[in-house]
Amino acid sequence: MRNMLLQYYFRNMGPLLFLIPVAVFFYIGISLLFEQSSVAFSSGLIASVIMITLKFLQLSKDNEKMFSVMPIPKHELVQTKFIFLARVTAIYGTLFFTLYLFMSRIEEGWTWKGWMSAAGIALFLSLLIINLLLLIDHLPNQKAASGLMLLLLFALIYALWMLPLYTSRAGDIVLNGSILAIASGTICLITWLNYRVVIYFVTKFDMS
Amino acid sequence: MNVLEVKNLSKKIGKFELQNISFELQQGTVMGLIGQNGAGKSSIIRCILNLLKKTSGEITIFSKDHVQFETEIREDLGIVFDELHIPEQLTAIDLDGIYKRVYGRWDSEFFFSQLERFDVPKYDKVKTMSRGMKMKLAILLALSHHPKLLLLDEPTSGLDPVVRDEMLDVLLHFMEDETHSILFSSHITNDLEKIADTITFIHKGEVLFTETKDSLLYDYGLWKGSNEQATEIPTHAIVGKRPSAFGTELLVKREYVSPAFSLEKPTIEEIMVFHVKGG
Repeated sequence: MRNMLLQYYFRNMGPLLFLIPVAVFFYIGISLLFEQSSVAFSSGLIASVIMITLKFLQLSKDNEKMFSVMPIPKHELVQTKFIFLARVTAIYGTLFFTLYLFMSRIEEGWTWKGWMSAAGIALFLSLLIINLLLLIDHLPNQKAASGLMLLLLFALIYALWMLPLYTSRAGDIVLNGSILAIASGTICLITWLNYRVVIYFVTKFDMS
Repeated sequence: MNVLEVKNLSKKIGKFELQNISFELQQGTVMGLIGQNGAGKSSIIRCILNLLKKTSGEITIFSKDHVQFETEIREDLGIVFDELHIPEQLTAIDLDGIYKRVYGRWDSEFFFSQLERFDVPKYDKVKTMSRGMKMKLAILLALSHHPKLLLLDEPTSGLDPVVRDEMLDVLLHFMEDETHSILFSSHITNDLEKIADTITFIHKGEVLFTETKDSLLYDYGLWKGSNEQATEIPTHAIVGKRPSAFGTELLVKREYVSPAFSLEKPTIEEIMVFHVKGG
């Protein structure tokens, strides 16, 4: 049942989920040409979060009406929403942090910071792929979730570790970098907590 | 056997309140819930479905508590609301995909055959359909898992007479199986006159009466005459009155009126209107 509901959410939000990153990529690309990368990045992130939230709220409202009269236990509906939100949050967290690292690497060149950024990109891209697979249910839920949690933990540590590196730099990029690093770290933390909470309830109350 | 029992249902929604609502729906029958807009019909159906939490009272469906056995009960319920409760970007094919994974007894073959029968397009998105088409789709979705009880909340409001007639045909066909039952809320009383066996009249959150349609139509009479003649009818017999071209129109209880007075058979709508407007 949960898989069906998740697929339903994905199917209905899928186009938007992919269109927004594409639009943001273009936006960042164009802004980079005018050397406004950090501004573009921040505004792109905020715009995406707002659009996704609005779409999700609208979809939730439609779903409530249809699923609320079906023979689906209420906790399944709540859980599904929660899991879906966690996955979308994770995807956007990783996507934007990857982008941010990518831009840092370009700025840093092949110094040690540049290499750290490259490593970060690899880590976050892998997270992104796992999250996408999770979202379309190509991975078994529990195992994938456990693996994802571990990776997210690494990502969080990485994000927190990277933060002082960027805050020590001067200029606007420092401020934007700090904000984005904190935001991405928070997103990762929230995602990780979401999974913990979902899995705790699934296990404790045998909701699987 | 009662498929639905509502006992002393109370629910406060802001200033509005459902007060001690009680009625029973027998298997194999159609009950019409009538009343003005805002009388509480939809709230009762939402309480039955546990979409609204009742303040007090008892509701059983198929002799099972409606909250405790909510998921199990819904396998046997077909539900249609006045507005379509389906995401509008979906098609009938998409809906079949969702419904067959939710309902254990979902019958895709029946669903698609009925879509064809009622000319409901399979590949069109719901948002492109007319209201009549949407409601036909909603009814067919409610019927295609072969429920035992249909809960219909104003399903025919805003539909043209042809579509309404088609929908009533579907419902009459559903009632050919004597284990099936329908609770049909509507303020379009013509529809209920065609299919209802019993009528429950809700007014300002209270049940005014529950009676079989036949006895209801027999118990009441419509009298038309001058104001002077009207004074000869005992006041306790008068349910409601309104001025007419002849003088006065009265809805009366036949048992209290002398056979000397010529009474017409009222419609359910007239009974409803006179009850609401009173004396």
